[in-house]
Amino acid sequence: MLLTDKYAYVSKLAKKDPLAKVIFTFAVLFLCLILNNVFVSIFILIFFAGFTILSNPAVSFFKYIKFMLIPFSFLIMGIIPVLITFVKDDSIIILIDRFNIGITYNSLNTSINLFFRALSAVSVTYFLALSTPMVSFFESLYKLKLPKLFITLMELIYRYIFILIDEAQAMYKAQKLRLGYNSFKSSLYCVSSLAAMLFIRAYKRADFSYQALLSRGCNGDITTISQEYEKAYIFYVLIFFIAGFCIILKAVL
Amino acid sequence: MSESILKCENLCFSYDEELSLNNISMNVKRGSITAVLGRNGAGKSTLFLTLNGINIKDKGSVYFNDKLVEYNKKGITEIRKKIGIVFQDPNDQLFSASVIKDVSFGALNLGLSQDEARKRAEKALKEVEMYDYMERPTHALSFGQKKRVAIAGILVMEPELIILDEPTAGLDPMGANEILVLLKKINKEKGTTIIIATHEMDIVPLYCDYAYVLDKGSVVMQGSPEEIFCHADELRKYDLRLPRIAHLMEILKKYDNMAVDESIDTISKARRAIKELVNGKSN
Ligand SMILES: Nc1ncnc2c1ncn2[C@@H]1O[C@H](COP(=O)(O)OP(=O)(O)OP(=O)(O)O)[C@@H](O)[C@H]1O
Ligand SMILES: [Mg+2]
Repeated sequence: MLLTDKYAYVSKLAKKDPLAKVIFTFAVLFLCLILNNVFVSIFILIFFAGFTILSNPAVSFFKYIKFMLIPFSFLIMGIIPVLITFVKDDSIIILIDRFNIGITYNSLNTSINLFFRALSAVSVTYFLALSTPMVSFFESLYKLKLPKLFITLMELIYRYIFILIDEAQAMYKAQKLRLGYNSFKSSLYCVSSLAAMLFIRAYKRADFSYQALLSRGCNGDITTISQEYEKAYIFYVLIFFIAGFCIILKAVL
Repeated sequence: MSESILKCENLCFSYDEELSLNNISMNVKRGSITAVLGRNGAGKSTLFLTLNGINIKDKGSVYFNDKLVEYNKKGITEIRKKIGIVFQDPNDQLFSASVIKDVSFGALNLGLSQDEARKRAEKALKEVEMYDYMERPTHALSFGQKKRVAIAGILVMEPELIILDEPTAGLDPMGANEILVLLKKINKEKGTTIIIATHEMDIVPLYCDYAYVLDKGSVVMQGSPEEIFCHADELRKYDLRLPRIAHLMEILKKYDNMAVDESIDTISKARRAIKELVNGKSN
């Protein structure tokens, strides 16, 4: 999320009602998971890849491929055990003869299905991540009437992750400058002291931040103004179009 | 209303055994800009947090508008509405990932409506010249920009007294100047009293009416900037220095035997004095 957030701000859809986008995303995600069809998955994958690239000027085709490659390695690792099974008689290739281990039609089918289903789900999620800044995302959660404490915590954690990363980076640089990490032993030592220091800093910061909140009159819960967003009913309409198209696709193919 | 807005008598506070504030007495005039000076660890930040009821004082009394401040829940809420603190490190203060949300926070806590809070937040952002950054995420701002947003977050509450803990640290020269001019403007127009903790001596004679010097948790010097900068040796004892111009005047007087007034501490005063000196000689 840290990686994509920067791009989300420049998306043409950034100012659109985040709730509509969230509902749209989850509806399509759900659709893609329950229909469980390779063609539906491929259609959703292509549709959302195109949608994301067209709607976000900062995300070029190659950038998008790069983003997709992040979950790719995990995906491949996950697919391999599904693909390679104990073979009975419907084998395509037998890899290890003695144990009857190989690839079957069935396993090939499932793994291709799984592969595209996962990839399309990722593309749908990327659409949300690359078009909705986290701040707007939180706002939509408030509208969904989720517990307030829960969302406030998410917001604060989100903000302080950046501070933590900044501090960790500064400390890492400071250690490097003083010739830390130059041997295995010193690396171990540096990492351990960095982690310990980070805990202490985090604790101190929490203290200061709490004081700062108090001094601005915070009385337990954090209320902020909600931003104005452009209405985006188009997303609700899109849900129906995509759903219809997918169901036809599944029925025909 | 009386002259004094904030007065504290024999204020004591300690984090552990050591006293971090030792019998602090001060009296801040309404509508003034007061400087609090002192080396690192002198107790400036501690003093502010104690005034605000975040550190619970051990001893002493604080008066706001001549009324004794009760440090119970109600009194503390009340005092926090009237005294706004801008923290030393803006990262401590900015809690939201969105600039406008962070700035409006204090206003909403005052019980204002969403619209009113937004209006005030936008105005405050304009005042600190961060209006164009409203939509930016907080973590994508530079240190100085964060500092401005932090100041806006306090301005929005329109407190009677604003305390700024090192407002110019980490700002570029122009930025620091702009902030001080802004503070002066707020001070003039709204009559807001301002307290500044700072290490930058040069700004003290320019912007401040009165100054306190803290050392090891006690007030060791106080007076108008001219009065304080007359005692150069005493100041140096507390690891502080004169403003550059005052230092120049001191050197001119001491080593070059020139008849300049030691209380000169700003460029404009120095200019006038030098002109007088030169013209006086030629006449
Ligand atoms: N949270 C804390 N716990 C214990 N001791 C503290 C704490 N904060 C400050 N102190 C101590 O209290 C004393 C005063 O600190 P304070 O932060 O008020 O100094 P300061 O004048 O603001 O310094 P600086 O110019 O560096 O900001 C110091 O000796 C410091 O070590
Ligand atoms: Mg301090």
